[in-house]
Amino acid sequence: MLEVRDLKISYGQIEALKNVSIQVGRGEFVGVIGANGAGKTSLLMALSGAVRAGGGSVVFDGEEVTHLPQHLRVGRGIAIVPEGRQVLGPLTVMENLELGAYQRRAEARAVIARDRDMILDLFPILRQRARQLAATLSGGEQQMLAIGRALMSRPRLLLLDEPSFGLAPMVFAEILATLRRLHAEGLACLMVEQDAHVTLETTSRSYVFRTGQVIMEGSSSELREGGLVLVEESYLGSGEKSS
Amino acid sequence: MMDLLPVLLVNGVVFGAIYAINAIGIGLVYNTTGIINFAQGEFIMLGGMLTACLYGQAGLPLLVAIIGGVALTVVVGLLTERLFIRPLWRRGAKDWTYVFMLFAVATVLPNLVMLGVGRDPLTFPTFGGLPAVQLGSVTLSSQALWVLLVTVAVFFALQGFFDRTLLGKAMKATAINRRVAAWLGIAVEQMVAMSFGLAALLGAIGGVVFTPLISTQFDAGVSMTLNGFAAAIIGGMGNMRGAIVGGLVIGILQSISTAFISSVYGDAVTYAVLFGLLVVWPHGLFRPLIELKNEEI
Repeated sequence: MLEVRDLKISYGQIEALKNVSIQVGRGEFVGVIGANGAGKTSLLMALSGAVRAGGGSVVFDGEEVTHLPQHLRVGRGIAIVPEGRQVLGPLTVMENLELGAYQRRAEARAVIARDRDMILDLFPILRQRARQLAATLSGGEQQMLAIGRALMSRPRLLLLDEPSFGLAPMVFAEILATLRRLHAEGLACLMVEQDAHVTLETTSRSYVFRTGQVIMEGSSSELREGGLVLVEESYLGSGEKSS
Repeated sequence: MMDLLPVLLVNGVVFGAIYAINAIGIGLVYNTTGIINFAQGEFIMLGGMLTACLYGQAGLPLLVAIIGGVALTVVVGLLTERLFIRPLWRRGAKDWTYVFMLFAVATVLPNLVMLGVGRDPLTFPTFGGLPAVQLGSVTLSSQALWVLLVTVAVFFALQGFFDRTLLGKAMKATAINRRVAAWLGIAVEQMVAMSFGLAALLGAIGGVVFTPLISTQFDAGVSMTLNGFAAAIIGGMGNMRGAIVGGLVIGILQSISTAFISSVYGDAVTYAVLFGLLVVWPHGLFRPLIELKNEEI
């Protein structure tokens, strides 16, 4: 479904991604783990169109989208839940959800309203907060709103950037449970996380990033059992064992 | 002297209304782009001048001339964005570069108008259709009533646009956080173009209702820009309610200081009071809608 080949991104002189190739199959839940600065967020920036690819290609559902303008990617079915949630604080919960469906503005209101009700069923707390400004929500509620807002575009691939960021473990566990449910219903997810354990437990396949490159990939269960030592090394940034 | 006060107050409110419209226009562009449109007053001038030309020189009926004048001004506003803002935007220019570009527009436009139309002040007839209103000892002329009614209508129309329509909310989202707006599928460049178009529309409407009161000429835009800018800052940049209050504060201050202190130092006195206000409330009277975030990666 998503096919990334030799993707390069640089900010001025700094190369954030060097020839990264990854794939996400239809309905797959894929993780990307690695330390800070490994290029995880840059990958999602490029996939969502927020930064321009300096080389390589991104193919989504058979269509080359490497240089597709950012606002059109949502319409193609790629939605992002950005790091730090980034809800629109001065707007209400309802308005945030409504704007999530901006690319579907030609569709009948009733259809969009039905999707909104489904999302409010998924996160009942948001229904109670519907008229509140998003800025007044707790961190966990904001994360639910950010996910709900992304779902309003009816994505086929959901990009998740550090969904655990700033959340209590209990709250994050609840959010993960919802994500698993969405995945079970057929939504493909690409989750970028610093928390390797959680990611490997949640996803079916994972990539390990270090300094802008994929240094390891495989099924999450294998990585969890066999390679976790190596994974942990990748966080230390040295990768060399003094033995 | 004191029996003059009611007249001066009413006069100040009418001028304040036009500053308020201008301040709203400046705020609209600021909200979507983070830059100050120093050409905003030129839209007022253009709205008035173009309508006057279409009416006086081309001999069109007043209503047609007004529609034409407003439409042409909106075209100029959209062209300003397309030609001077977007190319810089796409290449990530610094804020001051846009400000300079808009200064250049504010310098060149009046000169073009002078070349094309001349240096004379122009005007066109009052609209009529509304009665003059007696407020105690003061008479509010029919055209002054038009100015106030149109200002109120503009305010509520915009309020409705931002609170009730998806497009208005998308513009608000762009103002709150451009990056997130783009992630939601909102075409940020279109929102910026629309804010310039709306700002020009507001300016043109203001120019059209105001010109029959005092006439207009090629260089009338600069002081409109300055007073609108001041009103926007006093009210809280980008806050519509603040723009109205800020406009009224400045209009009334000017009217009173010009009459009671000196017609020469009227502006100086007005600005001295504004300095005082800003020292006490550096962020303006109302909170800006948005504190723009640093959008670097």
